[in-house]
Amino acid sequence: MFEIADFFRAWASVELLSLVGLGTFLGIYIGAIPGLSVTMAVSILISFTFSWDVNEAMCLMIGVYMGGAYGGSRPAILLNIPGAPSAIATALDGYPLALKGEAGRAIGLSTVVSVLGGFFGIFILAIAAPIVSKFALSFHPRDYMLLGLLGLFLLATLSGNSPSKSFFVGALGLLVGAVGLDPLSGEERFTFGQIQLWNGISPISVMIGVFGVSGALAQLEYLNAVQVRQKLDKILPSFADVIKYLPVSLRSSFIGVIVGALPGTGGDIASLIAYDQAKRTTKNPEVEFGSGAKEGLVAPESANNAAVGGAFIPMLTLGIPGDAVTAVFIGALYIHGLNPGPLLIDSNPGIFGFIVGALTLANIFLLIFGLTGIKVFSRLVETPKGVLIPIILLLSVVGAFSINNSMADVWWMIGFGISGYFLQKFGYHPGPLVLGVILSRLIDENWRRAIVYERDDFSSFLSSMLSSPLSLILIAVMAISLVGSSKGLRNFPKAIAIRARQFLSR
Amino acid sequence: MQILRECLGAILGGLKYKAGIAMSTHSENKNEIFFSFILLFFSFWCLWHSYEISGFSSLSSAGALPMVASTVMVICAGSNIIRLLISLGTNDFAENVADPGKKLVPISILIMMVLLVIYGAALQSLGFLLSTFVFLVASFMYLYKSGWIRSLLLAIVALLLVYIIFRLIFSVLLPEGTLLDHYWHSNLGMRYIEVGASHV
Repeated sequence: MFEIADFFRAWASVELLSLVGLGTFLGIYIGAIPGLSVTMAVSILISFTFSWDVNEAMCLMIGVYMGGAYGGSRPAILLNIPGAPSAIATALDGYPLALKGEAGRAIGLSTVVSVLGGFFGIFILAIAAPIVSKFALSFHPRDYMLLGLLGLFLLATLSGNSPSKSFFVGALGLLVGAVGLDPLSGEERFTFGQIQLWNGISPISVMIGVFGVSGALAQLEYLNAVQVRQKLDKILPSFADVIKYLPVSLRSSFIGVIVGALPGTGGDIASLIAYDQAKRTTKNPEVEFGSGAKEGLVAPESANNAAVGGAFIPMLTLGIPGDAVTAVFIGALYIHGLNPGPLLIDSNPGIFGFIVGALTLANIFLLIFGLTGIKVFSRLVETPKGVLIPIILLLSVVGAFSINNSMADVWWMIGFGISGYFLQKFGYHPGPLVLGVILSRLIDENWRRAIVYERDDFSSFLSSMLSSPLSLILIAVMAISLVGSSKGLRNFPKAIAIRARQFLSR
Repeated sequence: MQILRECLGAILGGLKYKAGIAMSTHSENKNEIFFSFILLFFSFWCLWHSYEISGFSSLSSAGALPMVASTVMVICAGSNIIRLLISLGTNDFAENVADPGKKLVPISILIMMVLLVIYGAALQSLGFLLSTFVFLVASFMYLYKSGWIRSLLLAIVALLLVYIIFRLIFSVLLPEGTLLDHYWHSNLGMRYIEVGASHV
């Protein structure tokens, strides 16, 4: 699997250990402040840690990732404002629990099950990644392309109410990612003769713009929202409680790992699916879901932390991001000279063990920080938005500039920030945009490799695709997600049946 | 004939149902239609420029992915507009006509957007320290509604923290203005390098 020495590398070094701790701490608070997102923080961090050693950079970012997956739950429980999209489901039952005066218990329980979910995800990562890695060596470029498209399809169909809007945004992302000199043929794409555009638009500046700036601007609508203060006393959950909800937690963690491992979908979608699943399968809950059912708190929190481990699987084995944050990690690995993909674990087994070890360490820090320092946290979350938002905008500018020390990235960030705000205003979800930018090159290059392999013959490409079991599975999943999301398609047979019945009864 | 009408009714019913579901989440129809047309024109513009890359030369050309992506954009934008226009035929239209004064974007957000653009422009000419300071003071006064003394103090603290953390600890380069700060930064920078070197 991996060397024990690699696993404990982060534990044995004071510097690496403290970076993991610092990262986890930061992640919890960044995840907790609505308007600050872990994706934005990691995007900004990747540019700041450019000159660091890869191990140090990874430690910090892994900590932030792990902390952030949990952090969103605190304001969700205390204020009914999810700090991160992965905590939307947490608020549904967490806030009612807080209203009943059980905020402390809710926070304690969510911390413990988050840690459990995290360990589950890491465990599956440790076992599954080497297996997937070997299997991935048999992937055809066509399969990489399909996998990338699958990620976009899944995200597009699962986010927002309108698939056509999400597909529009995803396609736009693919286009933005294609801007610049074509790496395969050197042709100019959308550069309009500007040399500055030859390197394309940095996905990080798009990310910071769409998640950071748009998010901050959107928060201005809630500038004067009154924040209710909560009383917090008992935090540590009873052992009996943990055992009681262990089955729900395990089931949800399983869902979390699978969803996290699917390209493009991460903790946010995992937590919603797990909540839905728990709601369906819990017979006679003590409290109704939506009024403070503890199962409704346990399920999303286990799932979103398990998704962290899951998201690393495709990232390390295929070089395909499991979610937006791992997409940034891929960028970080490239910057530091490591190419994620099937050969990574073979050529660099040390990095795999190291990442698993750092994740485990971050999870332990999560337990420590999650159960302490809550009063400090409450003060921080109550930072007035009028102060917080300009600072977020400032950090976004600094982060964007530090990508390439170029004002161009800042302008792109501002541009995407402003247009991203309007897109979101009209119901266009930003997720597929960012994923499209990140996956554009992967999909483009693998498409062209696949079609060149078939000598530009599309029918031959189709027949080879249909004769490969893996490709068929990928296409099937895409088709199912597409049909499942299209309400018009689903209701069409129903509408016909109703009319037919009316017609026949005359 | 009757059967044909029933089928057509079913199709339109399905579309209307879908439109109804989509429209239940927001009611700014007229603004959205305008925005959707902008997106449609933008999609056609993308399609045109994608074609200009390599036309229909081959499936493996540089323009293949851009053309497919632009086509998807055109189709999605178009279907969105059709859906919006259909829903205009339902009740929502009357609601919107009755409420023409409803603001789309809060004025505070528009002002912050303008401030952000001015900040970006200022960064290029005036450099990081000065433009950030002015940006922060203006934002705090406008958003946090604090008096100018408090805003000044807050801005100084924030700026100092950011400068120390990012410039000094993380060694992140910050925009140097072409006008004023070049001399100022290089002096500070030289002193820091001396200090830093003596610690190594």
